[in-house]
Amino acid sequence: MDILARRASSERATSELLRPLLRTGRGFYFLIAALLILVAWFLYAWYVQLTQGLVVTNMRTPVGAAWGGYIANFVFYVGLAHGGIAIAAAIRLLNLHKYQPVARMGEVLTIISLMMAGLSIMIDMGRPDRIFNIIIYWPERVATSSLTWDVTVIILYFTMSACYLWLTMRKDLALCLNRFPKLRFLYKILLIGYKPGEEHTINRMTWWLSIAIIFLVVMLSGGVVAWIFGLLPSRPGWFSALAGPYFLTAAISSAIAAIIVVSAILRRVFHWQEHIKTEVYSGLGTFLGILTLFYIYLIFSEQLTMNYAAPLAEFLISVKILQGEFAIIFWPMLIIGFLIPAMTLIIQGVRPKWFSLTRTVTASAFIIIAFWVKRFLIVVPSLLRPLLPFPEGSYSPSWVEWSIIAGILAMAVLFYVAFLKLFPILDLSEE
Amino acid sequence: MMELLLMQLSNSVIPAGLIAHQASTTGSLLSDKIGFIVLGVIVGPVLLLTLASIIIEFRNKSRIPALFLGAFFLLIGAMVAGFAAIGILLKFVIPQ
Amino acid sequence: MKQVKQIGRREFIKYLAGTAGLLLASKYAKPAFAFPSNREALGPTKSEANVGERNDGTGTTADELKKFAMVIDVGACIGCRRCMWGCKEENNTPDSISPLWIEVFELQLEGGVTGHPSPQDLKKGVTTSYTEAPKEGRWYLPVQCYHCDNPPCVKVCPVGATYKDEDGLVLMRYDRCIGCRLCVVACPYSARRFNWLKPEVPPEQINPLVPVRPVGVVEKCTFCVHRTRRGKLPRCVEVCPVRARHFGDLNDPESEVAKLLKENLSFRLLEEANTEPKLFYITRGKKWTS
Repeated sequence: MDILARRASSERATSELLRPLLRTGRGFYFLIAALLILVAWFLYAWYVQLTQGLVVTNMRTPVGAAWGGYIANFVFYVGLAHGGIAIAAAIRLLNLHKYQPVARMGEVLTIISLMMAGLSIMIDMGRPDRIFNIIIYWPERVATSSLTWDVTVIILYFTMSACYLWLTMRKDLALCLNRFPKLRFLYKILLIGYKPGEEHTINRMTWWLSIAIIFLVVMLSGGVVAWIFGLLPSRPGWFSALAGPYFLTAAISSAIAAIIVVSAILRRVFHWQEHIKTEVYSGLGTFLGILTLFYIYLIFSEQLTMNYAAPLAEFLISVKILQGEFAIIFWPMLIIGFLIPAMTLIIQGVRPKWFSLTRTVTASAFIIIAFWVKRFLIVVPSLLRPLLPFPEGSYSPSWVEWSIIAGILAMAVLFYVAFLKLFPILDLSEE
Repeated sequence: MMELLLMQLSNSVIPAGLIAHQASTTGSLLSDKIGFIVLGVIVGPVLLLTLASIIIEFRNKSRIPALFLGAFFLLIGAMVAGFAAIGILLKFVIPQ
Repeated sequence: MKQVKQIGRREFIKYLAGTAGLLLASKYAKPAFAFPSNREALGPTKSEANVGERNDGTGTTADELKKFAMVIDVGACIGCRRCMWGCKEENNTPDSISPLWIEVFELQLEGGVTGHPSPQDLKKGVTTSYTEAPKEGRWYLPVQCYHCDNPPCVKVCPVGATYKDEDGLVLMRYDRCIGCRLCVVACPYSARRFNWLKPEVPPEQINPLVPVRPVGVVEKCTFCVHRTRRGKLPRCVEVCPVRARHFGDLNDPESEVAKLLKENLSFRLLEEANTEPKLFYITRGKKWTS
């Protein structure tokens, strides 16, 4: 009875909220066409790589970098995947209900980002046809292999987040079950075992689940992913206790930035200004600014440690980054990608009168790109100078790598758009 | 042990090898099984929290915990099956 | 600081010829003397190396009473690189693996490495270069997989493709390797190699005792497991013209390596990495010329 009454009173609001499902503009078709072309190109590049081997990348070893763009991509997408649960936790645990409108946008971002992270790893493997070996030998290797821990936690995190998304989506699926005849079959499957009023149970359960998943966030980005690098003394610059907090801060910052950008785009495209108020962005923006500033402090701490009285190996890597061949991307990343956006966001936070949504979204976009660059700078420079006196190599991604990285992004957008067209992305009922 | 002593006698520099050897044999509990500790620390709390919510709602006679568990294991099964499927598919593309 | 040299046309042609010569040398060089080939002396074995489970493809198993180690006398090493090429021949290493399993560094007496390929050569894919050895005022340090007792590569492998066997050897199961290269980045000695493309070895040069690896897997020195488990020496030890290399069972106090380590000062590389490498360097400087 509750639901029917609510539905009757907010019929018009619901049509607005369901706009992506109701309307399909011309821009949509252009977008899909462009994305499909990029994905087709990505598949071709991957085919070239599969048939010729990883030699089509610019990765080489021991002269050169054994890991490159794909691994940077992997760490980046794992980072993006934390936004959803960060928002969800803020809403449920801290009762910050003003962020409710962007909750599902974040959760969908999580699921898709994790899939793209997994894809990046699979593409980096020399023998992806043997990927099942990771499962077969899991029991044998979990005792010592940091990669096995990584696979475990990612699969656990993905599954928990997907179930979380599914549970919280059900009430909205129930509300529009009869509105979309073509999707009815799909909704019915997802609504298996549905009982009106189950939202209360789900709310209680997801309260616990959000704590569990937030803990997984810390242990994933600030844990197993970081430990793949941070536990290896063989690579100067990687071996650091700071790796955990470093990766975690980067992850949450890039995720919040991604949520700002994605939700702002959707808000604009679907005219949801009434439903997603600017206070969401002022809150997220300020938080992002503080996190990014903290990250700059971590960068400073890391480079100082690698410079002051550091062993030769670390010192030379730091020189590579600050003065050498990577300086040309490090300094713009630091100043234009982190410092200026962070200051902008913090100043906006301190002086709410100066808040501008465009400025917030632009700053966030710069921050996202800067974080991709930063992941690259974590992975590559440390690999170029081995501890033994091999000749130093160089690395920048080849056309195959760029095509695949771009294609993965295109695929992520494609999946996101597909979700928009299949399911409601905004909450349909007021809590 | 004997050869280590002899090596130490003949090495007039710091017997780093001996030290390293002792370090690795004394700390061996951690080295060999460290993964269990790591995953225990990570998965343990997650398991506890999830179980807590499942048990609480189960006692409230709700179907949701069963649905959740079903979805959970179904997804993991699907992923494992997906890995196997991708592996088989790619065997036709990659030169063996 | 790099020095910028103005190159005239004649010098440029000389440089081109020199580089071409270097490339040819590094790709096709076979030293002008014959290796003693003990391949036949190993006796009848399987004619096709099968890449199976815990046997490395040679039908051998580990003797757990043994602990293999190698000792290299850097005072004796003349940097001729015959160990490098002998190893390549013995182990079916293709041209696409560069540097080879063994790498010999040329070091100055006052410190510092020389003899690296120029950046231009590096870009062309040449990773090993030397013209002649020994040079005046240089000493030579051969490096390869050290079969550590506490190997980080074995620890991190997610599928157990690399494993430490009971006789101390760190070996590869090529049919399990997924090519993630975590072992490659975990090795502090950069001893591991990766097959970026499908290895091509001319059929007449294939040693049937050693598997030919597929594309996308990691490989490295195996201390010639197919020879050493049959009581022979690794190929690099065998071909060294000055007998700078020694191999044997550390657990046997009468073995060459045990005696050498008792009688000589020795060091290992990156001791502080706690990897416990099993290749020791001594500086005795005794060169055998017969």
